[in-house]
Amino acid sequence: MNGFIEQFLNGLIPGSIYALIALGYTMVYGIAKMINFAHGDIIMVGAYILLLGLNAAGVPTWLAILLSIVGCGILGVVIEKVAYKPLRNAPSLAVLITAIGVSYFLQNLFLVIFSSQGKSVPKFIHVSDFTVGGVTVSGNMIVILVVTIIVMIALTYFINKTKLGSALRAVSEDKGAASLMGINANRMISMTFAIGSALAGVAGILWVSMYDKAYPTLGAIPGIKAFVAAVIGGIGSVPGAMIGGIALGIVESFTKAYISGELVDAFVFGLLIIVLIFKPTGILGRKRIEKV
Amino acid sequence: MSLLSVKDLNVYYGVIHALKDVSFDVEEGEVIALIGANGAGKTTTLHTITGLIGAKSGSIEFEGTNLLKTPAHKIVGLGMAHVPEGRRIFQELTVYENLKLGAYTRSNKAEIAETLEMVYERFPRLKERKNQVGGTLSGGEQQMLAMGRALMSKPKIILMDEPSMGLSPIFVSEIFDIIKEISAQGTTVLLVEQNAKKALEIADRAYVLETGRVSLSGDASDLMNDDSVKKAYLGE
Repeated sequence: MNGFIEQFLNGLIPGSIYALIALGYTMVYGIAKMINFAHGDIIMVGAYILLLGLNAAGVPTWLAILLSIVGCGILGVVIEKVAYKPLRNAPSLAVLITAIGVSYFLQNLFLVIFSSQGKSVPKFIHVSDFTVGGVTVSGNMIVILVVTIIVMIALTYFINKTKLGSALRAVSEDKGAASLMGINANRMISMTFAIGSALAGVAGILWVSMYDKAYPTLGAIPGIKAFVAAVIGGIGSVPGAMIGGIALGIVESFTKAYISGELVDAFVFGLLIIVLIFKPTGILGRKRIEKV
Repeated sequence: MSLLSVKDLNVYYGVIHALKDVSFDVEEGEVIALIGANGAGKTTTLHTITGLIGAKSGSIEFEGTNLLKTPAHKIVGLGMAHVPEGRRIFQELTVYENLKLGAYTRSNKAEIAETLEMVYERFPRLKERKNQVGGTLSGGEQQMLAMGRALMSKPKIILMDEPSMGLSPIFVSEIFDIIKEISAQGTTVLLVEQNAKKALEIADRAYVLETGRVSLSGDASDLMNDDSVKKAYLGE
């Protein structure tokens, strides 16, 4: 039984990080109707900014964390303005290829600057472990869970209960009608990229707190997994991304523990295929009904 | 000076010349009807006025502001609301959220609450359903929501695009009564309708659009007795 709980926790941690990344995919898709394939690489940028901050003399840890999150948010806005906005009315294939291009650009830029050698990130979360009923939970895990829960609650509140949040939902449903209400759709899109990328920054920070290495392709695997999570949860749905991310982490962990470590990815992508066959809109995605 | 003045407006969809030198004026307090067949350019005219489509040439002046140079999201703040064709309410937002977005550009909370009460008074059904999402409303209720949402911005002029489309006859009469009421309370109305008879009944003046051109204009009562209008649009 303890083993089961441990495996559950082992899945919950990467699952939380997948969920944070998946939120960015799903929010951007919801409003800009595009898959931002460079989203995973923002995680990597966040990890490097954190690393630079931690290694710089005189920069306190909280500031390094803040700089990383804000830096990712700004990077997201810049990418949208430079690469995606000019393609607002272009065919979606052009946007998709551009997004892949941005992804390669970021990876190679960081490869040139920092080399392919992984750089280890000093330990920066100092919370002691604790044991409940024979199961030991590391302090790092607790921090990840608490941060994820706070982010999810805050984001849900923002989207559902604030004026900007309802404007965001209005733009994602009908840009034209939203602009008739006086909502500046471009600004909402920028804001979505800022929030989504800042969340990727948070995910990057949490990722290196667990796996303590930064390297240029760091974002590729969590990025693609989180994309799968967003699709499983229902792309465009915020609670769907949360559920999809956590479910994916747990499926991974159980596969590793009870079936085979080598089959993890097969199970993850198999799950994706099954969901796409039986519920193509994902767990919480739904089709829109038009009334005349 | 007219409240809204459209001059020599030309609009293209690709190579299709949708509006050809369209000109008309709307004076403060009037109800103006734009009538015409499907594809005559009525909706295109409204979309160009509120910035959803760009124009090739011409001018649209609203209280001295050139609307062709104003981004779409700034127009509602000038005092112009648009109830678009097909209502385009936000289906996944609640009735209450839809109405609140109508007042997006306003900031005084007390005044917004006051307008909301007025809208609820005029459309009691919206109050009953305020926590329902828009997509679950019937067609007639959605039309009321779209109108209520437009009124939330306290507009000087309200543009309505086919408010009677797809509604049962009872709802059609109700909607036209509401438009009369809105006008009686001092809001100028620019009404686009295929139901020419109903539109001419409540309008002061009207313009007839034919394949992108204004073919006829005048007092609504005169147009109602015009032989060509009778034949083409009133089915007599």
